[in-house]
Amino acid sequence: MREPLFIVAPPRSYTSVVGGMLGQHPQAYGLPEVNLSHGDTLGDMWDSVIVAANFGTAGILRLLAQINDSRQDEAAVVRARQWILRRPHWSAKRVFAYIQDGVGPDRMMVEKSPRNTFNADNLRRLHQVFPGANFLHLTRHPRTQGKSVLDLMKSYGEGKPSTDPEKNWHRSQKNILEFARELGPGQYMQIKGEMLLRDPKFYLRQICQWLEIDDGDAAIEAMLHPETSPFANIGPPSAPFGNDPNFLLNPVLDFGRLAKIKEPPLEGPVEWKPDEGALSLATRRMARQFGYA
Amino acid sequence: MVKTPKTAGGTASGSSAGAGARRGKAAKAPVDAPLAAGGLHPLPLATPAGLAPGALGSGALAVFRGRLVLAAGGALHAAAPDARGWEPLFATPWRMLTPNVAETAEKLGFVEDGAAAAAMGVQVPQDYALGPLVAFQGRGERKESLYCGTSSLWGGRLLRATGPGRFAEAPLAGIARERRGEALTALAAAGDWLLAAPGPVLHLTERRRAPLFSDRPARVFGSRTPGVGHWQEVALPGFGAGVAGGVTALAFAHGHAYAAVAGPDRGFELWRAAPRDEVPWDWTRVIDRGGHRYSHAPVVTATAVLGDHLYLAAGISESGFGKDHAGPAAAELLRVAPDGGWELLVGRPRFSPDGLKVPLSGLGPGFGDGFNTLVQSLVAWRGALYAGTRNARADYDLRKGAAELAGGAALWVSADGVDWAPVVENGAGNPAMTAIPALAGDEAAFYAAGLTDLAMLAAAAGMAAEEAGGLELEIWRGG
Repeated sequence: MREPLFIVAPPRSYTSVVGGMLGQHPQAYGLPEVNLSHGDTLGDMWDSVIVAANFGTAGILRLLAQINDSRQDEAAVVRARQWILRRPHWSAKRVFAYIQDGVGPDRMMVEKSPRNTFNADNLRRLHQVFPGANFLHLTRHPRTQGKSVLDLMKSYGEGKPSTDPEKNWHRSQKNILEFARELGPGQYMQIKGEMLLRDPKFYLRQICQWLEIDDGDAAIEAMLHPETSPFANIGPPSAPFGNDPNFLLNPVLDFGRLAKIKEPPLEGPVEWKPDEGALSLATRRMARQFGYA
Repeated sequence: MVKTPKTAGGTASGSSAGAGARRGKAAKAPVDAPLAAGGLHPLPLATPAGLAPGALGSGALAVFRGRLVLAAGGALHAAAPDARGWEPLFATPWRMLTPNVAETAEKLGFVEDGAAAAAMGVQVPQDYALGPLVAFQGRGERKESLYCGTSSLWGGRLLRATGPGRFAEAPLAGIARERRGEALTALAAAGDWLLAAPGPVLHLTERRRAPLFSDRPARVFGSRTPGVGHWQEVALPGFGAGVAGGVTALAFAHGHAYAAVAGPDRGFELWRAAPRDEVPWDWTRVIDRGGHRYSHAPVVTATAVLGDHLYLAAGISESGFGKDHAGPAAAELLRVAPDGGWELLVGRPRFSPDGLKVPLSGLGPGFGDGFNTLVQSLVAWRGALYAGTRNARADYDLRKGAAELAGGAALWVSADGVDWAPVVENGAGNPAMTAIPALAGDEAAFYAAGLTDLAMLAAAAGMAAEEAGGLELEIWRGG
């Protein structure tokens, strides 16, 4: 069995695009957000993310529909839901094993649920299930990430968040960095999402070299087309999304636009802060560690 | 398909093991080197006077005309290899603090209230740090002289010894005081040029030295006749690219002069140029943004040349923490090839615009020990490369209230830059030997300076630091 790859990052950190690309590698299988780190059992996970409605459960429903029925229509999603409700006692390890069997034992599962980073225990749970897994820490500038979070919430009518997005950014990154200290040799790498997306061919090849999977031109070309994934669409009405809605609405990459991704300065007022407040020193320090200036 | 050694050590603390571990690469592979573990023995040389508690510039070594020369604590001394005592060569004069430097003296921690100290006529050493030491033969000179840069509140100076005797100040005509800065801490021979550059000054934070980063444009000066003092700027200020910061290291390898510039937020930059008659030279950037380790690699702390490669050590500070408490991070080793490409030898694997960088040695930051915060000394000797570390473990233990200290500086050796083995570990049994700040060698012998923090030992024993004195240098000899 090939060890899975977990892309670890807070929400709105390009995980959908990058996960979509890596998932299209011929030796990989890109999963939607399955959120299986959220509990010790499938039941725990289901109970903890069900409050987030479709954003929390759609990914696993769509994946199981695809594995069990090779399609993601309403009937398949209903069966997937029943499949889950009959197996609340299944451990995350057993569910992952089932998924691995379904996608093929030689395929590297690529998973990117941002909820994995909400606390370090989630990440540790993944590590317990897959002691040999690889973890790609994908970062995004705290200023643009925060704005993206707010924009998405606004577009879905959720209003202002209860906490400053900067705090969530910092907490997730801290969780990841603390967790990374526990990992063995070669299991953890960090990359700026902006850097990767400005030149995806160049950096995808490096990622393939790190993962020791095919880094030939055909493999790279396949990864430039995340729209070919069976999950690269809105999905059925009873399990919509399971990934970033904006990406699912338009999964064809615009490389010209990506090449122009800019990184704003760390210093200066932040638009969502009262009284033109700045990013905290702790956030700026961590961002500099990732390569933001 | 390209297969790359799987590497690690990529944690924030830099404490993980290194590359190739999944392939079973041995971290301590046998190394065919002239000096192996157990090959060093302490010389019966007591620390020369002048190493005050918390002394800055805690050690530079050179072998010059058969004698070992030591720069430490504001003084220069020489000793014959087997002698039992030091001959003083230079002692910095004491000078009354003047109002124009009072603020800097306060900032550096020499006095608590600079203005008051100046008004009271308080005296301070003119040079608060000495080093590095570089032998160079100027145009028209019959023999090499030994040069020593200094750090001084009144502007860095250049000292010169033309023979076995005493040092005297060398003229710096062509380098205005305001361009010289406080610390002339980067010095190197580059073909028939002697290069000098102002570096970041050091200040004390809780008994540890930390660089006080500069936002002035980086500058590099060169002279073919430093004995008479005709100096020119061989680089445009900031290399013409707005590069700000002190130059922490100068070197010469495969026909190129190299300059490493400190960058606390972005990481160090490495620039190079081929020396020529016409100045300024054409400098190009070889490594950017700390080799893409960013704020965890702000400073190049040591360089050496072995074969065709320039080797350099990068790190953050003695404590492992940098500006705004960035870190912790341990030391890395890199090398630059004649074509300007670079490789990571010891350190954290990463993606970069220069390709996937994995530590070829299989060792993570700090040679796999996250407490090896810096590689403070590098030297090539008899075809092998030696690296002396700064180790923060005992300091950490002390702060945590541990009953016993652990850790201590290490000396590692490699014949090819890839396979490394320890010569000295854990301060040779003395955890308070926190650093090997200087290495030197000639045809006859190899020397290493080990720095013991006596105040640390005192604190571990529950004594007041003042009772124990400050730092003690021990000279080890091998070969």
